[in-house]
Amino acid sequence: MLLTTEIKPIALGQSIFSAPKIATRQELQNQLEYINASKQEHSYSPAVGKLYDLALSYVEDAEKHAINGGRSAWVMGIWDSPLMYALDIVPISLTELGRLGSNDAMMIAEDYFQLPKETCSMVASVLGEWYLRRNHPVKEIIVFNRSCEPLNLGWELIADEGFTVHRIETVNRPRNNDPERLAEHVRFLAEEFEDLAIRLTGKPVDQARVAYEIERINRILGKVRKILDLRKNNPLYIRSLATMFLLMGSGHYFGKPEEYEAVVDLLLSELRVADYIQAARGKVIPLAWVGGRGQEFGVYKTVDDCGGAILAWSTPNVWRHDWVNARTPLESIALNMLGGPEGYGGSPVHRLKPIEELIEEYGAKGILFYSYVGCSFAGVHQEIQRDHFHKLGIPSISLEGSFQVGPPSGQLLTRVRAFVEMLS
Amino acid sequence: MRIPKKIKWKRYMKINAILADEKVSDLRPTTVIGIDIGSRQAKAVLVHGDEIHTTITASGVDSQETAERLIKKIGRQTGILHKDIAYVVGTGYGRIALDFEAFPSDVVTEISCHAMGAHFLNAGTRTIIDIGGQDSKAIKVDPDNGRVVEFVMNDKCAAGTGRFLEKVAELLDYKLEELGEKALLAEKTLEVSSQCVVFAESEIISLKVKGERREDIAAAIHFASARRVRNLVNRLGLEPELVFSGGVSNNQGMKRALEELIGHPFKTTKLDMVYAGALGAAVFAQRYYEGVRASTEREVA
Repeated sequence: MLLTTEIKPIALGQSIFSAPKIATRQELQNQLEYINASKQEHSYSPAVGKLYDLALSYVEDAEKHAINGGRSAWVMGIWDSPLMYALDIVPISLTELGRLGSNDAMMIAEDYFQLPKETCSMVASVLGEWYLRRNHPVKEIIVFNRSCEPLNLGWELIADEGFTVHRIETVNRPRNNDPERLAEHVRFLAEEFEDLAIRLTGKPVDQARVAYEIERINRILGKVRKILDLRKNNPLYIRSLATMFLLMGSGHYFGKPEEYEAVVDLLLSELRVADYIQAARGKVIPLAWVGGRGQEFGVYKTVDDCGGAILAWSTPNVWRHDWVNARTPLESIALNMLGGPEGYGGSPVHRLKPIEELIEEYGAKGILFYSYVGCSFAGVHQEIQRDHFHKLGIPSISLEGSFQVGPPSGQLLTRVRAFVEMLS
Repeated sequence: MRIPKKIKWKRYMKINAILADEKVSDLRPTTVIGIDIGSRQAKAVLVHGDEIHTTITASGVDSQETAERLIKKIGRQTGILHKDIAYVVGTGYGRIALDFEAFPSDVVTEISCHAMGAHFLNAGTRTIIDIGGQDSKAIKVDPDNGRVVEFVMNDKCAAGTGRFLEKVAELLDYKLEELGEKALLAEKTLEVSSQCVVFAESEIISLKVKGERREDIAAAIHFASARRVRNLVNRLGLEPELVFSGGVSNNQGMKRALEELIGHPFKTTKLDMVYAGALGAAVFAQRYYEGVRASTEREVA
């Protein structure tokens, strides 16, 4: 059931008790319902509505593109999209599978693939959903071996179901960011991209097209940064869930680069003149989100509804800097994938300094660390980071959420709400 | 081993008889209700004049219906009418479903409410162990104001929770209320490795088949569960004074196991700590009501 409460902005200085009540009797049941509810909450913003429309039509339109003779492929949808667009392939981010998939995916993973119940919910959900989509038109999967080992095994399992899996051998950011070693890794990855292009199209990639796509992503990231900067002064104009979609879109444009950029432009122009949206509890507690791009959308809604707003984002979508120019456009992609100037790749220790800077810049009062249930890697990352920020006196909370379709657990939302209450 | 006397809690008491001395003046005579809908039990605390009234019932499937039943029940106990209630705050597992038309209301998490409730009952509280029907929590509290400083929650496994202890009581053929006291009669230390509700069943059966005494098994289960809760406290770092709240706080076996493992005694309070969350909710209800009143007065002025 959707929320039926009409949420209207209230004037500054008005009592928090006369602010519109958020009805909570009807719980939202899945990600689609959360998207629709969020769209309704943003009824004042045509740009946010269009952003969600892009997200909701993403997979279906990419599949139609394939049916109509174009080429689409499942990818990570973060560092790889410029290369895909340069190869005339519409990239479909595999994270969409959890968000827009079906309730049956987990059952397929456990019953058909016989994955243990403790398996990472992302791996199980993605495999199950691909199996359910085995008769859909997009049958190519392009992946980096850098992904976690359970996913690497997952590629093998799904290849038996009629999918063609193109794997890219990869490397990680070297320890201590050793520049010589980093240059070697960048060269290696660029060669992998060259090989991939030949495997996919039978010919070398047009480097000028890649350069064009890098120019495009840098232009878009510049605008996204402006939006996030303006949002500091009006955090709830684009609420946290919509902002997460904005950031995810910056990685793959939902398969429609021109339309996505137009939405970004519209959003920017709306924010420049937008009225301030008052929080339900008067003042907004600025927060940082660090980790996976949570699929449990109730977490974002709870943060906003109880007086918080996620202003500082540290997710796989690196947006704070332009992509760095390297010797060749393919090396630029490689360098960015390894972390670029933010140094995100490799050990989680590389992320500590950038997160510190992010928190300072956005005035975050606390950090929400987010990982998927069963992801042992992210769990360790969280602990390293939690410990670091605890010593700096910055409060944090570690959240584990499921990847697949379904409502968030009440206890997860209790933690989020209690954390915001604690900082209020 | 000496079994502590079972405390008979009264359903209403004078505020100055149960609150920490330094907190008595912080409660106003305004009539408010705090409702704590747990996964197993629903509790209500009504503050009225210089009295505090409590009531408890089993949580039903419908949280709203349970809350309304509590309000009716406490109304019958006290003669307080709906129109006299200035504000209601809901908390606990079922708070998400609460939405009253008859009263101004709000919701606050059980974490904040247990902290505030414990603070009002024992102002020096810095650490709370809260074990409820379905999860356990360690909460660090600011003794200056009762606000949460940090918290950690175990919702991954049912070990030690009311739900788990219900299952154990059933397997040992005890009533839930007597399980903790029976654990205090243990004569032997047994090892129980599994604390999962599902796997504990086979382990308990296997201990019974070996001829182990039920009291010894009960004690082993309490210690195994308490070890997990101790880990939560260790993560936060124990700072006295330590308080035990939530539905399991009346379980003497768990209390003893926790005190032994943590190496620190719990402070005793003058109100059954099952009501700590509801009391905290009532405190928030008063504050919210005062906020509304102050805002209305400003607008009128």
